[in-house]
Amino acid sequence: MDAEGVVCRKVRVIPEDGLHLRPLQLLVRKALTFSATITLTFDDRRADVKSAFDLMLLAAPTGAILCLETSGSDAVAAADAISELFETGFSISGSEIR
Amino acid sequence: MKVYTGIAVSPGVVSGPVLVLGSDNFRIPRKYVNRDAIDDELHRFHAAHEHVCRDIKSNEQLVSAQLGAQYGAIFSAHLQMAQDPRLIREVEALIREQTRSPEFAVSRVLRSYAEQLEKMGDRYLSERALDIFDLEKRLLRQLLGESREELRNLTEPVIVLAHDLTPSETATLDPKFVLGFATEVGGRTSHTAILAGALEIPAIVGLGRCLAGVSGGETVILDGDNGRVIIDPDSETVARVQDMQIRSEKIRTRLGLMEAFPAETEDGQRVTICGNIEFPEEVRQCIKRGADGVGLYRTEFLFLSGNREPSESDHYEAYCRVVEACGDLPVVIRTLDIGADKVPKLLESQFSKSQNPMLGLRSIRLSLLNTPMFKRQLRAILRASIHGNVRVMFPLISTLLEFRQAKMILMDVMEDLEDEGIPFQRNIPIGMMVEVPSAVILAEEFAREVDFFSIGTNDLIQYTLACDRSDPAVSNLYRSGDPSILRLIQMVLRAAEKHGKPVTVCGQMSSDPRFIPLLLGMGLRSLSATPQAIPRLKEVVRNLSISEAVRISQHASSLDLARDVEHYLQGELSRLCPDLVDTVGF
Repeated sequence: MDAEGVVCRKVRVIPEDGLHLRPLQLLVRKALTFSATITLTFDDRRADVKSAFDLMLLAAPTGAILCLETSGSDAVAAADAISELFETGFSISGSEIR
Repeated sequence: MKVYTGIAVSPGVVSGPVLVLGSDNFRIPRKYVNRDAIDDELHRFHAAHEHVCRDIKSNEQLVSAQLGAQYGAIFSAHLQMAQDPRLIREVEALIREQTRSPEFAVSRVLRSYAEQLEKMGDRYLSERALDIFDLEKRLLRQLLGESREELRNLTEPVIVLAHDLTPSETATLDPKFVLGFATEVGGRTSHTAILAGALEIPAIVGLGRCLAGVSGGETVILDGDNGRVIIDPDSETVARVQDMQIRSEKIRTRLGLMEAFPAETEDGQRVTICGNIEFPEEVRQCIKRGADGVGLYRTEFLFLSGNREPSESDHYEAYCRVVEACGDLPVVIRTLDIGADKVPKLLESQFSKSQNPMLGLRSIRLSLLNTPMFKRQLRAILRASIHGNVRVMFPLISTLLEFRQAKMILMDVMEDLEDEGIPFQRNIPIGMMVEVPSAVILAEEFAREVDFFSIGTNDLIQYTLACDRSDPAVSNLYRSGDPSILRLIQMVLRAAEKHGKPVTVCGQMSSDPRFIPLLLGMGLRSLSATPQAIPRLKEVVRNLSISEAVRISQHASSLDLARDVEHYLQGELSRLCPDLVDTVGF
């Protein structure tokens, strides 16, 4: 964490289809549980992780390395939770309709 | 009388007066608002927005309760979009900074998202554009105080004909008044189509332009089994359909009771009856009707519905949904069986433009030429195999070499998975479709190498009698009752019995109750049919004894002509189950 309380991490898109609907839905759901500001940056495009539309339009393909930034009182917990989702590849349950 | 043809997505035949819903393009009355009224307009937007979110939530609860959580999830995704902070921020900004009307702002912002998504050329995301339009409609309807009242205040049963129905409109259709619906646009995998199937409302999508010629109130017959809409049918057609409906209604009620009973003959022989499915959602319909599993899971839809090749996880997710829903019941997954009749865009370049596509590069032949694509599918099948009782089946095998090659590739994939430490079912049963006469002739040789056979009668008839059933000039040759076909099936059954390998018959023949006594008499003990046919088939099995079936098959096998065979079987069926006969072959 730097002086302003901003946490920066790198995360990798593992799901084969890139950041698709299901990962995206999980991201938003998780992000909304934190008060921190959470953003992902890819290719100069920055997305608010609490916005499904932002994430869709980020169009991050498989293998892309994204820059995760969180700031706010629960910034560290938020960064942990979001990077965990990426690390586990949004573990597929296979029972949801896309 | 006018007939339109589309894609049948939910079966059933209904008739009634038509209710026409136009293309539903909301007219946005004004683009700008008065600067003094900005706060009021913002307030109006928020009120409408809140209302819409509440509506979506109640849709979600309703659908989850009635159809299950996985369908409700469609609406939790809608809710997430509706509550998106970016959407709200951008709409507010347009109203506040550019004095745009809330209607204009909502439409502008959402359409820009939809447009950008469509441009990405990505199947899933571009299909989501439809969900965005749904949200736009909801918000505009709220803001403009308009609604498709027509759909909510119905007092008499109607058939809905629309340019399009959104998933939310479909989910709230009242099956009491909406007998069926047909839309000009839409595809097989749209959420609207999936929901129609789950609600069991007969439905057809992708009719093409037809609304212009209909003003509403006309009598319409909607044939969800064959994807036909008949507007202003002549009296003869009406009478025929009504007659049939009354009878089939009675029978349906009785057959509904069949679901709980096993398919067992009078003398106690248990027969396995599985369902044929194409979409994961159809499993529900199989289980509901008491199927013994999924005997044929066609995987083509994964390839046909998009403009990119399905990934391993596309395959895996779809298979897992089916396998998990089936529990311990078997699921036979058939690898890609794309014929020249339904070439997906993404594989177009690989199909030879031959004069004789049915004899060309299709099905397993295509998979063997395109190993990376084939392996992706096999990996997903193997990975899914640990979640239940999975079997893999290769279509259109015509030589032993083909079967061995396909099996070899499967073994390669197993090795890869093992190296990567990914679990799978090592002794997954490996079978083949028997649908080419060469495979029947060599059935004994094949029986030594396969774990099971599944006879695909549709192609077998076509290849044996050398006739294209879609060509009206020769389609009279295409008959399940042809003595040559009976003989071929008998040959497969004998070869399999000799080597102790199970045989299933899938294809239209096994969905036709007339053929059940014949097939059982020949020694068949396993069928796979369209889910809707399962109760009928059970009824036949339960009214039959094996000795009777043997007698019927012996007599049928002695006849020379398809016509005589079918006529005889029809007679026997009407003796066994009199009221099933009239509903056959409509």
